[in-house]
Amino acid sequence: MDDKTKLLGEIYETSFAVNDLTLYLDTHPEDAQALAEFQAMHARRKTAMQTFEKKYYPLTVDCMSGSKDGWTWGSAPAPWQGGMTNVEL
Amino acid sequence: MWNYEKRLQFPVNIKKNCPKTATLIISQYGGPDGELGASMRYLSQRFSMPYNDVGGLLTDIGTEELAHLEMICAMIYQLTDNVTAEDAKIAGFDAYYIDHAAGIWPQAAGGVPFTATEFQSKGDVFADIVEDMAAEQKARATYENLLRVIEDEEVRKPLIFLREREVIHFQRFGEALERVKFRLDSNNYYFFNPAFDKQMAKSK
Repeated sequence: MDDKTKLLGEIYETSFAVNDLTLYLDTHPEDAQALAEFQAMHARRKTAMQTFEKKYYPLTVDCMSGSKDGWTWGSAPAPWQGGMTNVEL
Repeated sequence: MWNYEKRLQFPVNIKKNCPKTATLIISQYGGPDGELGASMRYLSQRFSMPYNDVGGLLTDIGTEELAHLEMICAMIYQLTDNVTAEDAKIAGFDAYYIDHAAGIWPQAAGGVPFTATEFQSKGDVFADIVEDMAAEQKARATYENLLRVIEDEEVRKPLIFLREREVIHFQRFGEALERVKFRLDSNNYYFFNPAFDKQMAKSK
């Protein structure tokens, strides 16, 4: 598995955990264990997104750093086409 | 407000075109129990929800449903991106093709266009939450109907994911219902509508 696929896998997994825990915490706001898990996943996701932007392209407008030339947001492929999707979850 | 992330929530990687499958899956885009209806329902209902936590849940689930309709559209796109006029004739895709070619437009599998009459935003706390629970069950049942007839593993994988999310959403709405009941008088939950009779609502 190449590095890009591994990194994308990390992004998909941590992002899903953040999404799912968000819904759970909406109805269980007092669950400290869930909150700790959320914070851990959120931090891992943030790191993975920043690493991905440095190596490839930004996945969100917020990810765009000033260090590259050109409109990097436009260089990301459309999500409904191939290339972003060779991740096995 | 919404930001966009250039990635699907769950990967869709369908290598083989099948316009017939696309005509079935399209119901989960624009059909009566599809993801577009679900997102519009929750994102509409949240405004009159008097409890911030439940309104927040409606926003969060409604947002996830937008990501789901995007997945369904990605599946339709990948099932039809290299289809020819000949394929369109054979596969039963012909009526859709005449009006849309390979364009993606929200309708049910049977051709009924998406309409707001497929969801309600009643402005009543109980009616809205119970409708949401029913909507998730209808969506789950629809995914099961699709999974009975679709064999391509690459199509099944995202459908299985989407079906599981419906079950989780149902669970969350059930919990929201309990949180609402807890705030009201168990002798008569219907004594007033907390979304409308604001002078009677004690706390948010």
